[in-house]
Amino acid sequence: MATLLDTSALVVFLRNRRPTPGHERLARVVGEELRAGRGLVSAVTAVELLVGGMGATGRARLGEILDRLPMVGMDREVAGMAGSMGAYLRSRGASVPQVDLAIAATAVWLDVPLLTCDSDFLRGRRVALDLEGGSARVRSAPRDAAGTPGLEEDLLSPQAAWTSLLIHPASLA
Amino acid sequence: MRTTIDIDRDLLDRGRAALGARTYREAIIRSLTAAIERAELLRLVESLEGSDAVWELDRMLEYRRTERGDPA
Repeated sequence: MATLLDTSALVVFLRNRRPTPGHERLARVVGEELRAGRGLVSAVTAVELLVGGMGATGRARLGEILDRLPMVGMDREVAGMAGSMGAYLRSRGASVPQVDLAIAATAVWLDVPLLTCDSDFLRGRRVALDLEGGSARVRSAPRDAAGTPGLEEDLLSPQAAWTSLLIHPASLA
Repeated sequence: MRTTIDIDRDLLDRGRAALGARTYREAIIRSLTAAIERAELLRLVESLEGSDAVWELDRMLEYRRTERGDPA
């Protein structure tokens, strides 16, 4: 099974000569996923990595590996799901960064585990589980007046999307 | 460039079937291409692990949460 590698997990891997205590396992698993060809990245992660690239040399090296990793962009479905997931949290007095919404929605859309050490993903999931009991239902959004499928057509409800987000076990280490 | 190589016929048959290739040539080219891509990925992963090519985790998370920061 493929794994979506969050930027935070890749950063831990790239800097594992001085790993943050508790992140050793995460760094090892990221390496295993990359070597096995199971690692996927969101296009948003490519942006974040390159923004944080250490100089032209660092960015060039990051660009090389990003060229070779399967990259998932934000299409209409993922964008719609990410927006709904953010609005859902906001309506409950919580929020996570827009980047996290895009990455979480990508993992849900792909139905693959997310490998991360960013606690915001867990927080989003906990909000959905704690406040709504974790029931996951599929919702069909109403079509607009012209009968055109909306962005959220046939997508999971935002609560179901959050509760469906699979967090890779190594993320919790 | 054309060349002649000696490959076990059974291996060719199995490879072509496994890859769903129409011809032996297609199977060989696809296999070699995949092997090269994989070897290059492994080389890159090895060279990037612990390379510090990117900023520290705390800086990255701060940037993500505030969308501010300078990677210098």
